[in-house]
Amino acid sequence: MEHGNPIWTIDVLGLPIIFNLSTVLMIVISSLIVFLIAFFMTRNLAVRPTGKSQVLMEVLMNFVKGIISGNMAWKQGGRFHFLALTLILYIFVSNMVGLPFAFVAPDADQTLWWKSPTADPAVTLTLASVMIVMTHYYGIKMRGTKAYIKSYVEPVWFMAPFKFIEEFTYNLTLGLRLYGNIYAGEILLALLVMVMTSGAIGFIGGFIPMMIWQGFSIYIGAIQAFIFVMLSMVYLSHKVNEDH
Amino acid sequence: MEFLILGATETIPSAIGSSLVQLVTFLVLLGALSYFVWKPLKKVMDEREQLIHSEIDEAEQRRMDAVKLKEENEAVLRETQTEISAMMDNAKNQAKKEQEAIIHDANTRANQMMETAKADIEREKEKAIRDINDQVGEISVLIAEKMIAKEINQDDQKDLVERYLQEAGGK
Repeated sequence: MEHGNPIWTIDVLGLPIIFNLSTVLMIVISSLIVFLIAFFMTRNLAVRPTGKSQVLMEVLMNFVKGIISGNMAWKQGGRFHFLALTLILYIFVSNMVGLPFAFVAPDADQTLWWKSPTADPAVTLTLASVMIVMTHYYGIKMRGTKAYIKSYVEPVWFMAPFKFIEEFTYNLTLGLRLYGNIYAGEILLALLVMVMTSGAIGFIGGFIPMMIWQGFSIYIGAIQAFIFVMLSMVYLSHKVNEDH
Repeated sequence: MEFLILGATETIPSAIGSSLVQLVTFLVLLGALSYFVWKPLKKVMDEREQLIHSEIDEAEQRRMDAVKLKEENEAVLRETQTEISAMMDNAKNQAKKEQEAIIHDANTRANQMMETAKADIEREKEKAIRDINDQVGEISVLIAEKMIAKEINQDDQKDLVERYLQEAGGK
């Protein structure tokens, strides 16, 4: 059940920079899958689409556009379109990538190599941080420093500490919600795999729960990708919109 | 399971490397997808939108043109119809006038001819009467001459008168 992590450390000026190689591997693989899928689905683009792939990508585009324009004016939100698209596709594929199988190295630590990259808090918190930092950047850029600082003491001045803390909790909740869902899903999958490999009865007993849980994980993965992008856009709109 | 607990000694440093990789990879992915996928796709979609807009505009324009053309045609048609009816009226009036003129002419000429004929007849009659009168006179003179020339007897005279009367009647 408990898997080891392939850790690789380098020292930069005496500080240890530690890489989880499995996570790094899965990040690269997920990104490649996302890129290749999106790339090959949009090769024969035409004003009058001939294949299903272009229509599918356009549906995705309009879906994400709907998420953004549900939160802010398209004049402001249009610039986040590509970001939100990339984000939702990357998180969705990352969530899916750990579902069909896992790869555990046959060593003493049972090092886990194949998993969802989003089952690592470092990944989800990084993505969340990118989004939250971006909200602050665009909040200042699009409304000005004064309006940005003023937003902390609105509606009353003593709300400022809460508002300040809120920015960090946004980051944590955004990242950890995704991580928790996917990690828990993978733990349960690993448990079910253990049950199924324990013997004939275990295999028969574990088969149906395994299927159900995998199906449910697909649902969770899709929903979590949507929620992540949705909330990112909500936080962005809080910072970017004049009134909320 | 200690990496579940945030703040555990191994977790924070462990996060930094993976974090950096995630950040860089995501930015690269964002750039690559934007350049290779989203931009062309958006371009195509925008083009389609433009196309639809322009097509709708064009259709609207054409509809307006058609309406205008229809109105123009109707106006022309109305004008033509008015013209035609005016022409028909003119023609009718003209024809009527001509008809009247012809009838009038014919009447006049007929009357004239009648008058002429009447006058001719009258003249001929007068002439005939005059001729008869002349002849009667002549015959009377002749009779008188004969009677004067042949002063024979009553019987002879009677015979003579009868003969000449017969002569005159035979004429």
